[in-house]
Amino acid sequence: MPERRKSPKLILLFVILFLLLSYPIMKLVNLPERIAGVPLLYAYVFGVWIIAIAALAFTVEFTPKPSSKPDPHE
Amino acid sequence: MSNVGLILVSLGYLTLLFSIAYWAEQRKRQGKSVIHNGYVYALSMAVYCTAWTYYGSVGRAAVRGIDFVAIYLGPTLVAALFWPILRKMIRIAKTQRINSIADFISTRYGKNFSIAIVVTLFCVAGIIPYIALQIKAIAESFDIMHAGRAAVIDSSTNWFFNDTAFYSTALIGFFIILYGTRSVDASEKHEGLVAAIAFESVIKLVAFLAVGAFVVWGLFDGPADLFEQASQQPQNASLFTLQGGASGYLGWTAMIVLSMFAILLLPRQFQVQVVENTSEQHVNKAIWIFPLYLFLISLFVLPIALAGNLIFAETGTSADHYVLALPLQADKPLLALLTYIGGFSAATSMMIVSTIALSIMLSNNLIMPALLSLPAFRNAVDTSIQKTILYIRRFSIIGVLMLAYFYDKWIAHQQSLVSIGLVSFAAVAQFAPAVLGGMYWKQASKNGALWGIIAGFMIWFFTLVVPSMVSGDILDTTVLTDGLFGWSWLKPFHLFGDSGMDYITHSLFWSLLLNTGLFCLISLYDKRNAQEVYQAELFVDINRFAGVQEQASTWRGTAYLPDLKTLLANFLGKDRAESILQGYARRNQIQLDQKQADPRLVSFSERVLSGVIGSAAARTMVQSVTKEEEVSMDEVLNILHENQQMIGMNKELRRKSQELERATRELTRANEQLRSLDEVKDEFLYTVTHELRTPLTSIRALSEIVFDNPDLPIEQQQEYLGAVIRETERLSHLITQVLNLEKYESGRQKLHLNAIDMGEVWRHTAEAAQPLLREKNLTLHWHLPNTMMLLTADEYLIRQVAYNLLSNAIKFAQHDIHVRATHNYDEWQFTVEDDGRGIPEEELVLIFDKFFQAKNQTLQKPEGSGLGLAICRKIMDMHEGRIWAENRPEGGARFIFTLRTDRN
Repeated sequence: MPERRKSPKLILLFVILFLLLSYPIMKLVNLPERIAGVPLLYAYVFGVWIIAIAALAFTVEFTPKPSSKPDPHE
Repeated sequence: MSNVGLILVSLGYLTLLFSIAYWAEQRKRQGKSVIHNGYVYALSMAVYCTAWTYYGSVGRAAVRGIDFVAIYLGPTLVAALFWPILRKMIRIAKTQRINSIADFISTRYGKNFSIAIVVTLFCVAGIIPYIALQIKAIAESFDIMHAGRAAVIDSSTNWFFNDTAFYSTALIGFFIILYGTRSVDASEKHEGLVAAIAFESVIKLVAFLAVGAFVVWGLFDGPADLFEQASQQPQNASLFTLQGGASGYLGWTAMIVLSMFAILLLPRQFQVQVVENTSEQHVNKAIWIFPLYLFLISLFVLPIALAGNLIFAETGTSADHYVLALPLQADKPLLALLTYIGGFSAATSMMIVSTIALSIMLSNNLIMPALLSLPAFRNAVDTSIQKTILYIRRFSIIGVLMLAYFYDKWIAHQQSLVSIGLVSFAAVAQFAPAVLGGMYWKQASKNGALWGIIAGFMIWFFTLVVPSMVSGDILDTTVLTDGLFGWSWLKPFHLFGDSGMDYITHSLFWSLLLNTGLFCLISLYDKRNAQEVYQAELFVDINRFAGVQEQASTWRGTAYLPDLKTLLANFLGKDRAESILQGYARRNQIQLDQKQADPRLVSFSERVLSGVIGSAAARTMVQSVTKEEEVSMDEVLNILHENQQMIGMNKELRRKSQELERATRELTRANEQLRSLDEVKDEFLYTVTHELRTPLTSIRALSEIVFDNPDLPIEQQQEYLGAVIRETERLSHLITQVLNLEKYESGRQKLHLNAIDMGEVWRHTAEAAQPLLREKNLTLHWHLPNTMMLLTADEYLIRQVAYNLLSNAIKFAQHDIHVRATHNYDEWQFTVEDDGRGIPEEELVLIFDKFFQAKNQTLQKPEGSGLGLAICRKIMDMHEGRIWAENRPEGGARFIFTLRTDRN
């Protein structure tokens, strides 16, 4: 069943994202500097965000589909 | 822009919504649902982005920088958990026909009324300000468009007939009633509405991106330029980082957590994500498309906020109005109009879904139960009750919108958009322990959930609503400065003297602490009743019990079928009630002709009614027409597990019987094979004996003649005895061949492989056949290469093949016989040709069968056992070679066999 393979990956992703967007790491990039004209913090948050979306899309779209055998609970 | 023009545009937009909804319902009727796909599902979830997102994010970003993003990061994080959590919610809601978040909580805790009422009331209290916020946004954007600049007109003195807010609210209300109260069964999908919401999501995103792009590249020279200009001013440069030190980080994380709860628990999110979900597979798409949507709509918030700060510095323009004010300021009326429509769609989509969700909660959990508890009403229950329910929903919709309108007029006009939104978020976050705990912790009890929610709401009210009442001049400011009753530890912003958190974090922390604490503590020591235990099992182990729901019933007592039928007919209509009852009975093999109703039918009726009037009211209604017996907790659990085991056993049985079937099929096939082999054997024996009898008969006849006539002339005797000898030779030849064939077929014949020269083989064969050739006066033509034809084979057997074919040819040939050898890649091909009468097309293959000639007696019978060719084929099989026959175009037959050269 796909959820057996998918769920742990997604939960891990959740934990990593939560840590990336929490205090100690946020403090590292909370500086008044700018990269390519964009404030560092903005670039970091939006960068993490779009990478997270790509990871989510990759996980759900490319985790192997279940065999044709239907889920016994459905 | 003129008032009339604006009203026309708004009306036109609403008409478009109406037609999309109408179109979607038409398509649904034709069986071509437009909402049945993951993309529309994800877009409908974007109802999360309201006018608060559209106008308010910029307002917050203009003052606090990036921290508004937390509201959209939270849902992105939860999207990662959609697969385990949201899917579980969808499954539970589907099996139990749950139609609102209040219904979800009340069903989990034993279909309890009090908890349904409490949740409903708190939802209304928490969401009405949020709907008011949308009305406020619509009215303000209208006024700004009308004025052509961002000057705030205080519309709080305008009432009803000269108030734009009133007209827009009324129109939206009309739309909701038209498309939101189609069917009494609230667990049915609102196809048209969802399509309209998804459409609105597209519009608001496009509009916002258009403004953003215009601001960044139209008003400024790209993002770098914008940020550069902003960094020149200290108050803007400070927005580049998260301010407030430790409390800033805490507030950031708190907002993420808050929005994580909101995306799962807001009534409108529950409506589109769970109730309107048509397939749990759609969750897959939503997992990444919904966050992508949030990302895109947040992308330009900061640039717009900074641009607004730069352009409107010192003009006193509210940051909430930047989105609309910027295109107006730049004199781009069309872009401004698009922006206005985007904001309008953001606001209306939220109003539509929230109002429907609230109206279902109100009618199912408050009004219907109250009405049904009146004996007069219950006795008067008849077919018109369906209409009554629909009217109750419609009045609830009007009621909710009116409440929001009045809230807007009285209180909301003094607050910024975001602060109202966050207050709503904090309200629904109070359901988190009850909902999430209830889904994963069986012991969670009704009392724990109820008191947790109540306590959480009291803190919420005190820390977030009381201060807004103070600023609305309803309460005295001393509450804020000195604490309630003058107790300094009861100040709304500083409970227990705390001062390290901003007010939202502060409220969230204390309310959830008390809420979760009470929830866990009471649950641990509470005694739950059977119904609660049953529901807890079903919720937590939904995957195991999904099938049990349909087939099991923990209901015990006496019920009469006619009563149940009447009850269902009252709420669903006679025809529909009849058809779903019969459908269920057929699926589960229940007799419908008895007077006493099967317990499963009672449970089923209750579930169906839940979809219409909510689980708690459905339970009461079913109880009112049946006599239920108290079931002990152990019994409930037993029933549940027995049924679950039965389903497991059924599955096992089905698997076993499938295996058995397969084994039987194989046996039958093997049996048939044996029988046909047996037949072949019989036939073989029959033919052999027949073949043996012919020479025997003639031997006997001839020797009898010689025996009976001793005075037969000696020449005659010689002739007869000669015939006897020939016949016995033929007999022994036949027996040798039968024995040979039997030896080859049984596999007992070992191949003695040696390197042989086929030229040698042919020469020997020709020598042996010389007398026959001479006898029939035939010429043998050789077409062999001069080289050696080396092969690995059993020389004795191959000679037999060559001799058989040659003697065969001699039998049929008129004048000439040709023997050819050709080399093809990795095999030698040998051909023996005669110029006889040839072989009928249909027999070219059959002649290699045993006794083919014997069985076809019509043929003029030549000499020979009829086994020669069968033996040849067998020998060729053993050598992995091929043998076949064809007719020559110029007449006569041709026998060909091949041998591989690379065999060893």
